[in-house]
Amino acid sequence: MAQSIQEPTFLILTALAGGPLHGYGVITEVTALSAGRLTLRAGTLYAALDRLTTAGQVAPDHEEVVDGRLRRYYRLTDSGAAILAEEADRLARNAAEATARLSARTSPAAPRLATT
Amino acid sequence: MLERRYRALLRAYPSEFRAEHGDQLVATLLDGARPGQTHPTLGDTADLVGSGLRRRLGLDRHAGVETGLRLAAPVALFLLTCLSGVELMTRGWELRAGFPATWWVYFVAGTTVVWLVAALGWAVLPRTVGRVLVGVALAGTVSGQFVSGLTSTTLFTNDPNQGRSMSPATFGAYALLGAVAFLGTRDSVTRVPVRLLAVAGGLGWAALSVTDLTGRGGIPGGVFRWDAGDHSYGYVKLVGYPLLPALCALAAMVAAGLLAHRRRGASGWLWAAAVLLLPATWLAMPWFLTLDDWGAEGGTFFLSGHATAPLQLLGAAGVLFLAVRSGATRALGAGAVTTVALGVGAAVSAVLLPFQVANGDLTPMLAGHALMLLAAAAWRWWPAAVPYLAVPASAAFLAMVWWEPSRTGMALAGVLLAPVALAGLRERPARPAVWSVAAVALLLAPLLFTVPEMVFTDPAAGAAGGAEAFATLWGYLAVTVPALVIVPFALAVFVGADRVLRADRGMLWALVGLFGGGTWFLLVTLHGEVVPTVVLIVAAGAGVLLARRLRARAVVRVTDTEPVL
Repeated sequence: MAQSIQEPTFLILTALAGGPLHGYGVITEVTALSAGRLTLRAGTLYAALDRLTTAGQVAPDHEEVVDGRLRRYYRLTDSGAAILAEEADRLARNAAEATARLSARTSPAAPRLATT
Repeated sequence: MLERRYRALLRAYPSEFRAEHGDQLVATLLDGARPGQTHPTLGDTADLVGSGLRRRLGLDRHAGVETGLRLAAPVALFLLTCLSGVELMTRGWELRAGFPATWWVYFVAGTTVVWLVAALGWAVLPRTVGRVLVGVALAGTVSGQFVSGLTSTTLFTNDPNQGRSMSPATFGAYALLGAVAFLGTRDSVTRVPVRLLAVAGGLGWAALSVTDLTGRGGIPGGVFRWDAGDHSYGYVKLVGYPLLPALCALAAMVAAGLLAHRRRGASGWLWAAAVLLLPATWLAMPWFLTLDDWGAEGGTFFLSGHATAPLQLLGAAGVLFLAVRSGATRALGAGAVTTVALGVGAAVSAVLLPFQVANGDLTPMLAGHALMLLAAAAWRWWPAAVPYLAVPASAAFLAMVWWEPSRTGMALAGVLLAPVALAGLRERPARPAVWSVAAVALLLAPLLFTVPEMVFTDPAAGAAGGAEAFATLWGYLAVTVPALVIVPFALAVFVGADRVLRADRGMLWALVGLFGGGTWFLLVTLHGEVVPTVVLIVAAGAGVLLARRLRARAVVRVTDTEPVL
């Protein structure tokens, strides 16, 4: 019944699944995860983190001060992990279905491709 | 240096958010900055200002609003292009035709060009640049319109020799559509050719709308010419073609919203339709009274106009309903009743005070406006003083009822403010939400500004306003827009009662609010204005007393600041 989550949110949760990260860490991780396609801006990121914190899907973990700058680390909560797993499962099923249908569709052409 | 600039940009966020996330947000921005960078990038600036405004308006807490804004933004830009095209062509024609050219004509023409550049920028340039351009155009339009209220030569008046400012309906459409375009980031249309098509379509429609510039009447084109002695004047009446795409777009969005809602419970399309409904009807709002006085032809004008008055009413009610359903009241926080009442009052007073002073319109209403502004400021910084300012403000408005009976409608709206404001006084939160209310009030102000009796500064002109010609219910509605004020006030009363008594008696208070609002509406519509004023003041006073009595019984614990009454 739950609505599918949007890609930036999905990638933020995925980034945090690897362990707690601070804001800039999340941004670089999301860029890497999306192969440079998606670059989160700080305002957008913190709006998402605030929303996810309120929803109980992520939680502040610990804080550090590096070069006089505050770094607050966020971690994935159990509830966030469950939602991410559900979404990943849904995407995987969709992808598998799409791949299966595409291969069925392209199979007649395959022999010709093989000969050229 | 860079850090200080980023912190300045963070002022766009509410202070609670800054306190919670400000330091780490700045740290993240600095981590991502290039070596030697001294200024925030354009992208970060637009992102921070946009995110901050969305946070202040409470829009980022409801996914449906976000989606709705993304869907509405391209439509808003289409309508803005159309509107700007009409404005520009008309101003150009006026200048060529030798009309008196004040700085205001050039200002509006300049602002219009910026809107067109912004729309084009939105279509072809990177998203951030387009958004910044929309922001610049919006800021220019809003500030210009308010500055025009300070200079007597540029007022929108009933006198065609003076009135050259942007009509409040046009201004309202610019403000709301511009806000939708600015806030709807990552809008649904991503392909440049489609965006260009939207802009070109808007311009094309504008060209169609002003083809009849020189003709007498010109009703289908929405522009007509008025001859007075040696002079001829052209007036844009945006009731012609621009109305059509606006309403078609709305109909399509509502249909899509209902379909999407049935299929998967998504509310984005409905939100998109809701946020566009009001500016679309503003675009369609004509000035019947003045048209009639100036001898324009009737027919289409009157028909479409009378249809738009109830549309506006429905639109305002629908938007407020959706907003409440989706947690707007939670976003406003405790004390919403007082915040809304004082916010709306202060916005209207801020517009009318300089307007009336500049016109030498010296009545007790001026004292009411000044006191209302002070009361709103006190609500933020010195809450104990609010009742001592709001009550005299209402008294000043009440005096206006006898001072100048032809302007009772306005006085009536002012009189209502204090009782409504006092109803929520005890619930003052530590930090009342100011900006979201200010934004709402900014959008309401031009709507109120369209009331003829506010614009007429000559009492004789106001008295001879031709009300007899519009004795029907719809006719009166069309020229008495203050009736709409009852909508936010009824909402305020309802929310306040609900907050006071919680769910068990919420329904009872909803009925009381509806009954009171309905009675008020009918009495005003039936033209008997002095009697309902007195009745309402007595009823409001009794209501406040009753609410306090019931509240004392129902709520044992007082959580907020100590009572001041």
